[in-house]
Amino acid sequence: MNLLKKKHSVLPGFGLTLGYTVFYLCLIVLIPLSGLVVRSASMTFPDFWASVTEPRVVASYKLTFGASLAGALINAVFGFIVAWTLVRYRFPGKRLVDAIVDLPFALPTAVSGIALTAIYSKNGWLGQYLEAWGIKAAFSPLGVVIALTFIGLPFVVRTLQPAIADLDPELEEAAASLGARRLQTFLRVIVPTLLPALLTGFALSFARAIGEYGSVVFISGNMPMRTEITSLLIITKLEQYDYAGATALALVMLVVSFLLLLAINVLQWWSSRRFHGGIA
Amino acid sequence: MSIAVRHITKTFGRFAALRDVSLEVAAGELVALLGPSGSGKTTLLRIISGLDQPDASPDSEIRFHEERVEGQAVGQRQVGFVFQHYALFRHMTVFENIAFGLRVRPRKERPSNQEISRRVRELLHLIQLENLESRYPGQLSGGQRQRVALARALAIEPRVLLLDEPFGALDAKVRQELRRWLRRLHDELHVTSILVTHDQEEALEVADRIVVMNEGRIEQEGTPEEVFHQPKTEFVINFLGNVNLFHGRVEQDGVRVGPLLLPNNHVAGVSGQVARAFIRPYDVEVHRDKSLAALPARVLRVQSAGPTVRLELLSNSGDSILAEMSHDKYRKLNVRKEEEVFVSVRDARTFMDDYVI
Repeated sequence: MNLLKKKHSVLPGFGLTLGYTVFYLCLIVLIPLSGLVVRSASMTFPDFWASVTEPRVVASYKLTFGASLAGALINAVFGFIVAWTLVRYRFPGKRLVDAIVDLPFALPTAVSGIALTAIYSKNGWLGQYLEAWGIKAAFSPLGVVIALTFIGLPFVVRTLQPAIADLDPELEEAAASLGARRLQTFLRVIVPTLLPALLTGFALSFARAIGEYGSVVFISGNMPMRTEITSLLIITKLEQYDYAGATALALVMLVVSFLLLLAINVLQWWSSRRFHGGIA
Repeated sequence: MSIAVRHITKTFGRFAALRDVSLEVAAGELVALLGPSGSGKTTLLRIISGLDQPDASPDSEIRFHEERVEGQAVGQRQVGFVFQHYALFRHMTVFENIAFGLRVRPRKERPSNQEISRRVRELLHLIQLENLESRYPGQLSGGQRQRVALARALAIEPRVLLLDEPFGALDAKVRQELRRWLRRLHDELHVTSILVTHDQEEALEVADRIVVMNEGRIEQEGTPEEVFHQPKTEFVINFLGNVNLFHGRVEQDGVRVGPLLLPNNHVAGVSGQVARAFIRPYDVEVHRDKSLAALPARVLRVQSAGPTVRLELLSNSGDSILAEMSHDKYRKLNVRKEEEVFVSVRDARTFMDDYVI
């Protein structure tokens, strides 16, 4: 049991803090989650299976995970650019832009939902131009992606900023002195160095998007089979007093989210392991 | 490949990092740029490499073997640059780090994979790290990392090798080993090299020629022997090792400091003029017997751990004097702390202000 071996440290309290952490996690995370499992166990398996593989439900999974993935990918690219600009350059209004990045964190999701709907609907500021191009933004899957991109942005920017600030300019100079062109330096040196942080930001943004409800329900229009997200279906089921069906869906969401995050964490671990090598 | 730098000036805002510096480095030479921090040595190195640009000026010139390179970007100049903090790519193995410069070449000039791997293995052999090719930089010691950085720079077959305080981040012991190794490597490869350092010992040991810099100017250029034994300015003598400073006056046959008459190497001295005499600790002689032409002093501290014995003395006039002698001599002298001794001087460098009356 290497884990419990006592190591002298300036700040005591390993036992206390670990105990507290475990207790807290149980109280906040584990007990509600196991409640979920127990609850859905009241259904027979065929019932459970039927309720979680209903076509309308399957369509909602696709939308939820698809749009979340799309939003997180968009954020990974554009969040990278935002973070890069905020760290590397000085320009008037930089502080303001930096503060605005946090807005999706702070804004109640219903507010952002209403705001986005107003902007992207047929006669909204942006929606009218998109409409002219034949693009329907609000009340379509695209609207869901927009909302999920909006709420996920700060995660990517905030995780990348410190990593970019830590990036040694000598790395770029070394690459340039070895004859690398700018794009090569970016792709072969900068991106791989920032990859762990980028993956963390991506994972956070993705996870946030999967769990998002408030901002999506306004802009999506909630059309069955087309723009319904799973969270909304769960609420619908609850409103119809179908508690078992709702928990069954919740369980599926739980398992899938957990597996996805686990996969991303493994990826992250793999990409950062190389940096610290076996010594760590 | 020779390097010629002419009339280079560089200012950062109001700060003048380089003031009209000119420098020639012969092909195959290893030159050390030596100076305190802020003396402009790193700026000069970076300008030679192309990482920084000098202030625009019609007479500024940088030539590699007669070819003008001012307009070329760092990647085109084919310089091997070694950074103080290695700047290794931490997501790549040792092998890939060394291969980087070859892999990023345009497709037409890029060697085949076998050729790359042959070259990398050769370099790994050169830096004696053959068995570590699949390690990541994070798994290497500082000295190993710097050797990898050097191999990476050499992989592109640079026309010149530029080293920016390459051993600055290493332990004293590793630093000594590595600089000896670097010297041997240079004797093998004969690539024109410029080494920036603030460590005078390093410069004296490694370089063919030393360029001492201060406040954006070159104070003196010469072989280590010249710079050490015939320092041209007070700055140079001060910077190259410990030295005692005495204030005296010029007399007909020397510089008078209390009872001491020091040789005057400055021809232009006017009798009665104030002069400053610099004396290396090993030129200070300590006696027990009183003589007229010696300075009485008291022993403050004896430091005998090391290759020589160092005595810290306080003269009667209140100047502190550092003396250095062999252990043998120290045993014969047999002095202790707080004892009275007499000091005479074997050799000195004198300087005076060149004002005209």
